[in-house]
Amino acid sequence: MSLLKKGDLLTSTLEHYTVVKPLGEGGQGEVYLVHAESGDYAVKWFYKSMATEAQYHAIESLVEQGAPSEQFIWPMAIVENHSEDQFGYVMPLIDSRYYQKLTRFFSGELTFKSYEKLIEACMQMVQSFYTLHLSGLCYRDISFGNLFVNFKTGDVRICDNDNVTYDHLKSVEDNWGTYGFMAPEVIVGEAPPSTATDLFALSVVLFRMLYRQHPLQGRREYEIDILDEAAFMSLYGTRPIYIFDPIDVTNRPVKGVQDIAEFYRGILPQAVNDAFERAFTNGIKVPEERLRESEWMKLLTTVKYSITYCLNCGKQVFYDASVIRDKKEVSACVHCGKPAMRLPVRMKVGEQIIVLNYDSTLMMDVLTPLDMTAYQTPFASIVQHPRHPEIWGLKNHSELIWQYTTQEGDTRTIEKNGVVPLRHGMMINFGDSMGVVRF
Amino acid sequence: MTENYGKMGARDLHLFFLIDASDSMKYGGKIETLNNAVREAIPHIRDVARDAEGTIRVHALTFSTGARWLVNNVDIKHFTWENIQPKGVTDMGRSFELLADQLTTEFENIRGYQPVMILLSDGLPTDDYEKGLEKLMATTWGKKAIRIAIAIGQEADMEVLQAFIGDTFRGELKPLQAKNASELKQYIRWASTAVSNASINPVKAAVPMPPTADATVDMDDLDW
Repeated sequence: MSLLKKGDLLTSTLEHYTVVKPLGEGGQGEVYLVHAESGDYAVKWFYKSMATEAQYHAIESLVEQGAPSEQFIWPMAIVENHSEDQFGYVMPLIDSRYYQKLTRFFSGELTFKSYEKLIEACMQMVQSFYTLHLSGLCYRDISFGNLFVNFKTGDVRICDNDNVTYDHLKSVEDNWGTYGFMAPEVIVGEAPPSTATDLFALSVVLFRMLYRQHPLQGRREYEIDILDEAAFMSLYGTRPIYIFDPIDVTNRPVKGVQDIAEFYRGILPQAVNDAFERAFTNGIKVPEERLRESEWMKLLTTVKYSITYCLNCGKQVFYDASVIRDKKEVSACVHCGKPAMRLPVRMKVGEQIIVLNYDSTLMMDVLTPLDMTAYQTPFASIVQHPRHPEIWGLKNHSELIWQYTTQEGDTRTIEKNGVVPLRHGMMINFGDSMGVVRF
Repeated sequence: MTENYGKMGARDLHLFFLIDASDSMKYGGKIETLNNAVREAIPHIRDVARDAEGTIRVHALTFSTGARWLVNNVDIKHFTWENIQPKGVTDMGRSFELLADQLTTEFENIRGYQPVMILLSDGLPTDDYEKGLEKLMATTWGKKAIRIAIAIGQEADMEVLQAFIGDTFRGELKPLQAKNASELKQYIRWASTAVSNASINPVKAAVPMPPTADATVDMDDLDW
């Protein structure tokens, strides 16, 4: 860390900055904490060899474009000093009190507060890249090193945005990216990075969030002693095989040593397993077959609303009606091994099944799972009757006017902050859709 | 929420230091700087390991008259550095052989990332280094390693160091020449952290760049 020194002065079209201290270094430059009148920021200062005219214009264009969403730690302005040939850019500071690298989840150091928060992080990533892609941009290097997470809330920050480019790359000559996340066609040099290759990387990130293990690291990876470039080429480029490929069984998880995905495959809703099978069979080779962000969002909504608690041990499990129908019984809890005593309270809205737990918070994605921002807008929550704790209700947090019919046959209207007392078999009219409650 | 109900099959990175501890390292504060530089690099290597699914395991051997192990297979989390006391000639070849022996006997059925081997020397080998290097390169772990060489001062045999590096990073890498204490620290830090990171999180078509020394060396900074 030596490009800039404490006290160095930098200037942008916005304001002046004083270098406070180095924060880190990467392949293209060094990152510094800087102080300005309006607050503290981060500056990425490029190595001389990277401070090219093309880079300057690329950053300029990103600044002009503006951040697609608050998750992106986006270039705010180009910064310069007295030197003729060097520059950097200023960006918001990631608050390290709250945000940690996602890698810490996989190294086992940190974990999410609950499954809801893990899903929230996944949804924020999906929505962020959706918004980025919608602007005609592609990220090129989606990988754990560029993703920061607040493990308590599931909030996401995406850094290293100087590689973002318009989705019209033609040349494959300067293909690059992180092995394990790069799409096969990028690795073998058949196609440049694009939105479609971002979607591949995103599917890897999501798989790892939900199953922990890498979708292409099974027996074939396990049996390689040293992972060198040739190994990466084969595992991720020329012969990528999904660990749960329905036909090719040569790359299955290895029992006892590299098998954690088997566990999560056993507990996640079947719809999730099916979606990833699509993503990593047809979706590996044929970019058009990859799942779009809206499909991931819908799937994550399904996962989120299938979370429930084991009645014996209190740990989080997933409710999957299709599995119960097939087996004709409620599976034993994966944590304590005892049978969950009864089915959770649940509500069906359209095709979606929403499990209603004592602490459930429902968002607007209950009604509109394909709307990419609905997961952020409050819809309802579960509340307990203050004087009759055996009575549970669904509280309206939305602007929608709900209607339901009481046991006595009266029609009631529920506005914002009103509560519907829940009972088995009841129907709630949310306007455009109906919810059917089952105990 | 994330109790583990299985294993991820994480790999470790093995990081090897091969250090010249011959008599000449006594002069000009070279060995003191080296001891200090490795010590300074430790927290930064730990940071790299913190972001990895496995860990980084450190091995270090010295060569002077003969070669010997200083530490073997120690998790970076628990790693401390004992000062090296230089004495004797430069049996570099012997250190390659010693390393080759360990890689043959103790690395069977071990899974890992591409190992990183860092050779530090200030002089000319006094033994048959070619024979040793041949033996090292005949091992899978030696051949597949990312091999970095750092020359301490002007007297080191750059050809020998280049031979050690071989085809690392597709043959694009040259020995680094540390002309003063600050450069030596920078190079040791780079080799042990940036290169380790490049092995654990490999990026296609990107060779981690060694810290670039200023083109014009301030003669006051020229210690060795």
